[in-house]
Amino acid sequence: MKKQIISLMIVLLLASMIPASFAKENGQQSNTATANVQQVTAKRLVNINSGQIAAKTEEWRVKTTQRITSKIESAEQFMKGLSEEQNNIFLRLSRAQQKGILAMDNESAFQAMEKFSLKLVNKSLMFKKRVIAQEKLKIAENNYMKAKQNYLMAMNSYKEAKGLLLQEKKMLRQCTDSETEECIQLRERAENHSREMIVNSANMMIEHLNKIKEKVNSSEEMDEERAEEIVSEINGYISELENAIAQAEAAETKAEIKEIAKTVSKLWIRIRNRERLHAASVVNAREWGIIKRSEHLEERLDSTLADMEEQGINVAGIDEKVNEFSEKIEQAKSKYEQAQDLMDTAYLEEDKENLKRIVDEAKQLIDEAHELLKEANKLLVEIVRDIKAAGGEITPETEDDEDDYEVVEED
Amino acid sequence: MKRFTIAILSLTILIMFFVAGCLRMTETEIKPSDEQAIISYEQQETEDEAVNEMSADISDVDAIDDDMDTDDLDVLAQDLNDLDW
Repeated sequence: MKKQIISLMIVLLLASMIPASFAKENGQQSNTATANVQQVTAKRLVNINSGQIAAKTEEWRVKTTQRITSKIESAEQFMKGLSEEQNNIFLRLSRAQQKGILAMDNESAFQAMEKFSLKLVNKSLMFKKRVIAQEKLKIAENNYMKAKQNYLMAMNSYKEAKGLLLQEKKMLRQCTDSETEECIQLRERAENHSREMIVNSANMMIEHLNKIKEKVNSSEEMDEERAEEIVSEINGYISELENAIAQAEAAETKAEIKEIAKTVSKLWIRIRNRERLHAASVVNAREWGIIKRSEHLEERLDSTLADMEEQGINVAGIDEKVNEFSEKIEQAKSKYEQAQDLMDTAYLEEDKENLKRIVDEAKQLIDEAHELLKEANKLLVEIVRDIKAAGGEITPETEDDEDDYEVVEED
Repeated sequence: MKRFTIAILSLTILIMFFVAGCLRMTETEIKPSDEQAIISYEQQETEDEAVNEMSADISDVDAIDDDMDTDDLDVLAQDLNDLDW
C-alpha cells in the first residue's frame, strides 16, 4: 500500500511537469522552423547571385533584398545579370527603388541601374551639402529671430500709419480749396503718415528678405554656390530698398512722396517672385535633408527587422509598414526632385509671369512632398511602436566619424 | 500510515501549485501588458534621436513655410501704388 501511494505520487508529479515540457518543446520547434526558413532563404539568395555578394555587404541588406526578390518571379533572372558592383549598388537601394527597378522589363531595369554609382562619404556629411561652423549657425539663428521681430514691428507701424492716413483722407474731403490752419495741419499729418507707410513697407520687405537670407546662411542642406547666389541677390535688393527709404525720408512735397511710393511698389513687384523662389529653395533644401535622414532610417529599420527575424520574431506586419514607409519617401523624393528641377529653370527665367507660374508649380510640389513626409513620419512612429511591442530593438546609430557608401544617381 | 499518506499528498499538491505558479509567472514576464507596451513606445519615441529629429524637422519646415509665405506682403505693392490723400 505504501509503495502504491508513493508510485501514485511520483506519477502525479511527472504528469504535472508535462505541460511545461510541451511548452518548451513548442518553443524549440518554432525556433527550428525559423532557422529552416532562414536556411532556405539563404540558399535561394546563393542561387540568385552565386558568389556575387561582396563580403563586406551587411547581412541585413541581403535579407531585405531577399524579401523583395522572393515575391517577384523575374527577379532571379535580373539579379543573375548584375555585375558585382551593380549587385552592391542594388543591395543599397531603398525598398521602393528596388521594387521600381524590378517592375521594369529587363532591358529598362539594367539601363536604370547604369545611372547609379557608389560614393564613399563620411557619415557626418551624409545629410549635409556643406558644413557651417557652430558659431555662424548661432549668429544666423539670432539674426533670424531679430528679423522676425523687426518684421512684426514694421508691420504694426505700417498698419497704424495706413489706418491714420485713411482717417485723414476722409477728413481732407472737407478741405478742398481750403487753407485753414486745421486743413494745413491735416495735410501735413497725411504727408507724414504716407512717408511712414513707405518707410515701414520697405522695412517689412527688408526684414522679410533678411529672414530668407538668415535661413540660407544657416542651411547646411543647401549647396554653397546656390547659397552665395541667393545672399548676394538679397543684399542687392536690401541696398535698393534702403536707398528708397532714404529718399522717402528726404521727400518734401506730395508729388515727391507719391513718386517714391510708386518706385518702392515697382521694386517690390520685381523682387516678389524672386524672393518667393528663394524662400521655396530654403524649404526644399530642408525637405532634402528630411528625405536623406528618412532613407537612412529605412536602412536602420531593415537592419532591425533582420535582427528580429534572427531572434525568431515574426516581422511580417512590420515589414509591410516599412514597405509603405519606403514608398512614401520615394514619392516625396520624386516630388522634391521635380520641384528642384523647376526651381533650377526659374533661376534663369527673366519673364515675370513665367517666373510666377514656375514658382507656384514648384511650391505645389514642395507642399505635396511635405505631406508625404508627414505621412511617412506617422508610419515611422507606428513602426517603432510595433518593433518595441514585438520585443525588438532599433539598431543603434553608427558613429559619426564612420565612412559609408552612398548610392548616387546621375541626373 | 494514514498520516504519512496525508503528508505525501499535501506535499504533492504543494509541489503542483509551485510548478503551476512558476509557469504562470514566466508567461507574465514574457508578455508585457498593453499598458507596458504604451510606456515603452513613448520611451522609444524620445529615445531614438533620428526618429525624433525627423518629427522636429517636419515641424520646423511647417514653421519656416508659415514664416516665409506671408500674405501681408501681397498688398504692399498695390497700397503704395495707390498712395494718395
